[in-house]
Amino acid sequence: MTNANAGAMDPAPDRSEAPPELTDGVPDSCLVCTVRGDWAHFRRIDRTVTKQTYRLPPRTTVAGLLAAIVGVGRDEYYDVFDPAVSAVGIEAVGDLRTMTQPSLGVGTNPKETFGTVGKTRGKGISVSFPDTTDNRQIHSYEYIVDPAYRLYIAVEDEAFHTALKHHLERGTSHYPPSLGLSELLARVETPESGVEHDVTAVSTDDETVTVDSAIPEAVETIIPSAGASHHVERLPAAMEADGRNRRTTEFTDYAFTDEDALKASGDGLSLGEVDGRTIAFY
Amino acid sequence: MTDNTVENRSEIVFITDAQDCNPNGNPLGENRPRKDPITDQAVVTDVRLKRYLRDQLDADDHGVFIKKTGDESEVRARLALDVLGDIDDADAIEEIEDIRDDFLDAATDVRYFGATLSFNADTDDDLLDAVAEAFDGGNYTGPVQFSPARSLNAVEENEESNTLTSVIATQDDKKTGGFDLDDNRLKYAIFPFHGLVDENGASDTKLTRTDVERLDTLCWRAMKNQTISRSKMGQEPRLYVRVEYATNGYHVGDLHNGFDLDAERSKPEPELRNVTDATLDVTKFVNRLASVNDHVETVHFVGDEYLDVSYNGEQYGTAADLDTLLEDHGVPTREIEVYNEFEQTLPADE
Repeated sequence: MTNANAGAMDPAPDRSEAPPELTDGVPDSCLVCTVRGDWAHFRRIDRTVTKQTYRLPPRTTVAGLLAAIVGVGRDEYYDVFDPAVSAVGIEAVGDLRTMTQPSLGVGTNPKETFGTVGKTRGKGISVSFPDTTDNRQIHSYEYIVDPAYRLYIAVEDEAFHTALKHHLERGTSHYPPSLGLSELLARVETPESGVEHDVTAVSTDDETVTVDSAIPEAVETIIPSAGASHHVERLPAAMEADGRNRRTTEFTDYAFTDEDALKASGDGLSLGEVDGRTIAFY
Repeated sequence: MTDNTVENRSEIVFITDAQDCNPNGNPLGENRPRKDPITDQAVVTDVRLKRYLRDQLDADDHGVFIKKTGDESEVRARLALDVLGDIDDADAIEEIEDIRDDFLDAATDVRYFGATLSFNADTDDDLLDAVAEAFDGGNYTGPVQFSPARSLNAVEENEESNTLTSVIATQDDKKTGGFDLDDNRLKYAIFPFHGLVDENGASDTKLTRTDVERLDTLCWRAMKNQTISRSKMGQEPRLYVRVEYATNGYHVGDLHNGFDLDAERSKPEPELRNVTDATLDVTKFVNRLASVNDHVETVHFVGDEYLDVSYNGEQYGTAADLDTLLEDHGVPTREIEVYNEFEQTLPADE
């Protein structure tokens, strides 16, 4: 690499392609891939001791996974995935069975198991670190077994779009993708028909639409039907950098199922047809 | 950039088996072997595998940050964290970076698997920023990752010896042994661990090419040397492959799924007791690598002579012959001479 500033994001600096454009939340094209793994864990933010998982990766997690592929660092991709300039459809593939695995880990509670060295008064730095010879703490992790999700991705940011498309086409990644925890390694598959697909906006005037993907804003839109079950989860949808940390700025309720496609009232949804499948973008 | 930089991505499959032992007890389930209740596959977590690897690093006199429970903590000073307390000026950035480098030099396991630290400045935010930046915010993501493994076979537990009364005291200051200790073991299980070496994450923890090469002997020796407690004996390494890729950013992503038990040549799952009862079907693995051999630099490999392998419906030989099979399919290989090579990766005498 000759230009250090070109960074990881742009594996083909001369390549220029038109990124998708969004109209009322529906893109005119999107990138499609399927991510799979042996395990996934998307920790629910409202749980503490038991690490329960969402069944569906939050939109913010999807953004992080794609940023890893492209090679954009933490805190550097939130703008790209601002809901005003990006659209993501998520489809669960296969069942989403979970299994709980307790593990003994080094304590992470600074008040209990951390050692500290350094200055305690006046100028200076104190370093806290886990006392790695102390007793371990049991953490129960709920994992999804054999997770698989098809993702439909549209970002208006041209550099990110081009880099992501390039990586998906070549089967490469800057940082290896994982499903929620760095040890839960993921693999990425792309459709034989190609990575990039046209999206046709679906009229939302119809009273009832059948949607193949998970349905955001589900409380208002989902239409239950007899004999068909679905889950609803409230998931983080957008975040922003907040000093040294980051914080969630938006949540949405997603309805999804591992059975037949769900029915919804189109009102308020951004629906697009991709290869004959109706996808709800958010 | 030194010539010891990790330039290539590697994908690892490490196949181990467990006979009449408890490869990974569940602390919330009476320490019974971990199992998937639906499929009856046994499970061994990444945490358990990394413990063996860390203990082997420790036994080889490499510095280890995440120590065995109850070990003396004399290494702390060696790990250079104490010295940070002497820094009181953000302008001493070079000194802070030296301390960071000393820490990563001494904490071999952090270079592989990462660690979490936290820093508290008392008064001086500039100082905190300088330290946090030098230490990557204290969050080191390990460039080497292993996923929890699921056995290729559905497992059964031994019905005998459900409890045991230990005659050995469980702690130094106790004279009496433990009573009613559960002793649950699997009859037989064979596990494909899946791992990855991230060449781009390597620079964050200063993982070196020597460190990556050390894995080639470390995994094998750890499984031989560290599975020595009562419940852990009976585990053996059977096949280790580290596929080193030539193409930047490329890896297959699920190489471990290329290995199956050959149903025709293995005993039925309930009758599996021993490695000689099993035959590993490597067809998908070999074909997959052959189909992407343009991307493969070398397959570093070591195989065990007791594990039979089959290819395309025919008995091929044992796991030790996998290199010939791969070479026949145009995939370059290098056999690892574990016990000749490992000494080169031990810490240099100072």
